[in-house]
Parts: sequence; structure tokens; C-alpha cells
Amino acid sequence: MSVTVHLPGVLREEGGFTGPLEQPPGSIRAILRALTRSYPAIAPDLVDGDGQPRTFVTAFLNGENIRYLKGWETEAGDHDELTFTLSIRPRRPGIGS
Amino acid sequence: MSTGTTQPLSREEAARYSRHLTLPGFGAEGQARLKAGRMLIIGAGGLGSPAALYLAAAGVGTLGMADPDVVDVSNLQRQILHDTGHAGAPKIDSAAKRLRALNPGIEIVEHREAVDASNALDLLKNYDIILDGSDNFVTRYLVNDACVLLNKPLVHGSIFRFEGVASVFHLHDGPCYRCLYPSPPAADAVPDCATGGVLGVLPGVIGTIQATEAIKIAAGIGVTLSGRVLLYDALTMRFREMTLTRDPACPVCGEHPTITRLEPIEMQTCTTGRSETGHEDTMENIHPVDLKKEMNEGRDLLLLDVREPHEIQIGKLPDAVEIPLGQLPERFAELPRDRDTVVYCRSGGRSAKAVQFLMNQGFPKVRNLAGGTLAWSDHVDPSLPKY
Repeated sequence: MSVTVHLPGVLREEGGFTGPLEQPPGSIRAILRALTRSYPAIAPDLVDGDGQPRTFVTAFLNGENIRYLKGWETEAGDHDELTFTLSIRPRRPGIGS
Repeated sequence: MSTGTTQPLSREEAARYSRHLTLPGFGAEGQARLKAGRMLIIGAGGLGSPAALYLAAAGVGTLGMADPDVVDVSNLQRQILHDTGHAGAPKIDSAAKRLRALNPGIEIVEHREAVDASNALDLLKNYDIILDGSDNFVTRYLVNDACVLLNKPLVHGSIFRFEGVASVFHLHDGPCYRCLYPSPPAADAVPDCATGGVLGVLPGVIGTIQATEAIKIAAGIGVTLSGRVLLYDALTMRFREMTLTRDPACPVCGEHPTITRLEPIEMQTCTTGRSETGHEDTMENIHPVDLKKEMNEGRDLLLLDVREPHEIQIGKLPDAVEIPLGQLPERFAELPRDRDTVVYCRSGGRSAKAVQFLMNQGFPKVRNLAGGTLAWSDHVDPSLPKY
């Protein structure tokens, strides 16, 4: 039982993995939280200091923008494909912010 | 799509575009629509180059290009409108010359200015279809907003490293860029120029997709990328498609838009080196020539290189300590506080942020190498490669 998670190449590189990631099913918020715990190097790109998804991160579940589903509470199940896209990369915390 | 009047093709045009004329579903009518078409390409760079070449070759009647920059030798790895002999020349000159040589039967309109809030509406209003080949978010949002306000379709393309994105925005009331990303990042985010770099052939793929979409819109054929976002990963050679719906709450194309006129997009860029700390006023810069002089005098200096490892591989200053800017918050304790420290990066933007950060941490003597390795190469050591 897993969700396939696609991330931009620059995050894959920074996180130290190459292909898509397999994550347990759950809400997209929970999957994001698990991702940032497993790969802390990419956490600043995906969530802010309070752990909230950054405003320039968009998620698509099986190609559908989650904004038109149940947002970050949308449930992703077995065999679902979850894609995160970023309009921009944030600067790192502690540097001029 | 074109608002122009279609006119019959001349004998020469019929010969030139014969492979279009014999193309089922395109034919003389499609070609005539292209001839009547007016398209503007924002940016004569990586994306604009292939798009412009194919649109000119295809016979788009009026092709405008807007770009204020000059050709740099580092552009030539991907910006195929320009050649070595044009290094240092305005990109618009280089582009216009190449496009007119390719197809003297079309009109090339040269716009040498940058697109900003003061001129975008005037610039775009004369065209039917806009192609965004810009390389920054300020222009991207601005052009999107202008297209919505003017009710013109926008063919979007963007690239980063090995990946690209293409879509069509605001076509027949379809979704716009802000339906995907509602607002530009504010104070908590800026583009990270440290992660720059792009596979040279990548904009060829995305720019050609943009040209394809623009031709389809003009000719009135096929199914466009409106309502879809195409993601391309060159490393895995995979295209993936996301759906995009018009957002009723979109600030510019939604039911109750808050953006009703074009205003400057507020956002930091990666090269300002400014901060919210106020230290930009007190930060001390050092010119490369002065730094070299201090080094020759044997002054006890610590050089700190805050570029990424792949940049340092290209070349560095002697004996510099290497800590990428992004790692500085976790690693600044490795630096001795009692040394006179000079921080540098490629152009001085990231190093300025590092200087501000170190000053905030109480480092008493930290200076920024003005102009970074680019200036060092210009003024001190030409053997240090510029990139």
C-alpha cells in the first residue's frame, strides 16, 4: 500500500534520492509532513517554519490540482500518484529572512 | 484567433509553405491565418530562440520580440538565435538579423526594452498571441496579468536545470498562471541563483512546444494545452500532464478580481543582496583589486566561498574555505570569529546575504567581494573562468 510521490529534480538531488518516492497512504498534508521528516534537506523548499505548505507549492493527485479536491486534507490512497510542483525555490532559513 | 484579415498567399509564399499547404487539416486556410497572425515573444533567450525560429519559418505574418539584453558568450550554449560573432551585441539585433535571413517575407518588430508595468499593456496590445520566454518571476506574473487584462492568450514556458513546463493560459477564458500559482512569493522567498544552470537543449524542447501551441491557436487547429500543465523531465525523458482549472478566486481572472490594472510586481530577485536586517547600509564591500593588494601584502585574510560545489569546480580563489550559502546557518560555527573574512560568490548577491548573516551572528570583520568571481576575473585574474 503506497502512494507514488513525484518531486522536481532539484529537490530529488538535494534530498539525495533519484526517482519517485513511495509513501504510505494518508492525507496529502500527512504525506508532506512525512516527506519533510524523512528528507529534512528539502523541508525548507516545501514547508515554512511552522510546517505549513509554502504558498508556492502546488500538489496534484493523479494529475488533479488538490485545490479543487479537498486541498491539503485530500486523501491519497494505494497506487495514487502525487506530484508536487514549485513556482520558485525559497531561500534557506536564517539567511536574510 | 487572429484579428487580422486573411489574404491569399503569393506564388512565392505558396512555394515556401507548400508542406503546410498540403498538410490535411491545415492547408491554405491555416497558412493564411498564420500570415495574418501577430505574435509577441517576450525574451530572445533560450525559450524565445527556438520559438522565434519556428514561428518565423512557419510564416507568422508579424513577429515581435522584446528583450533589453546583450548577447553573452554564456548564452550561446542554448540561445540558438545568436552566434559567436554577436557576443556583446543587443540580442534584438542578433535575433532580427537571423529571423529576417530565415524568412524575409514576414515582419519582425524589434522591442529593445524590458517589459514592465509601465509599458506592458502598450506593448502587448498590438499582438494576438503572447509567448512568455522570460527568465524571471516578476515578468512572468506581469505578462500573465497583462494578457488577462487585454484578453489575449499566453503561451507559457519555463525551464530549470533538466526540467521544463509548458502551458497555455487565458485562452477562451481558460485558466491563467495565477490560477496555478496565485501570487508571487513575497518576503519569505526569493529565487535561488545558486541553483542556476540549464541543460542547453532543454529550452529547445519547451520553446518548440510553445511555438507549436502558438501555431495551433493562430491556425485554429487541434487541442491546445489550455487547462493542462505539461511537465517535462529531460533526465528521465518523461512528459507528465496535470490538469488546471480556472480558479473562481483567482486575483486576476476570477469572479471578483482584485487586480484590475497593471501594477509593478513586488518581489526580491536573487541578485540584490539586500536584506531586512538593515545591514546593507553598513556592509563593507571590497573591490577585487584592493583584495588582491591586501593578499599580496600578506594580510591575514580568510576567504569564504559561498557558492555551490559544482560552481567551485569551475574555479575558485586560492585557499578559500567552502561553505555553500544554504549550509551557512548550520556551519557558521566552523569559521573563526577573529579572522578578517572576505566572502565571495559568483556576482556578489549571495555573498552579500552571507555577510549580513555573519554580521547578525556577531562576526566583527566581514566584507563582501564586490562583483564576485566575475569581477575577480575581470580585474585580477582572467584565468579564473567566468560562467
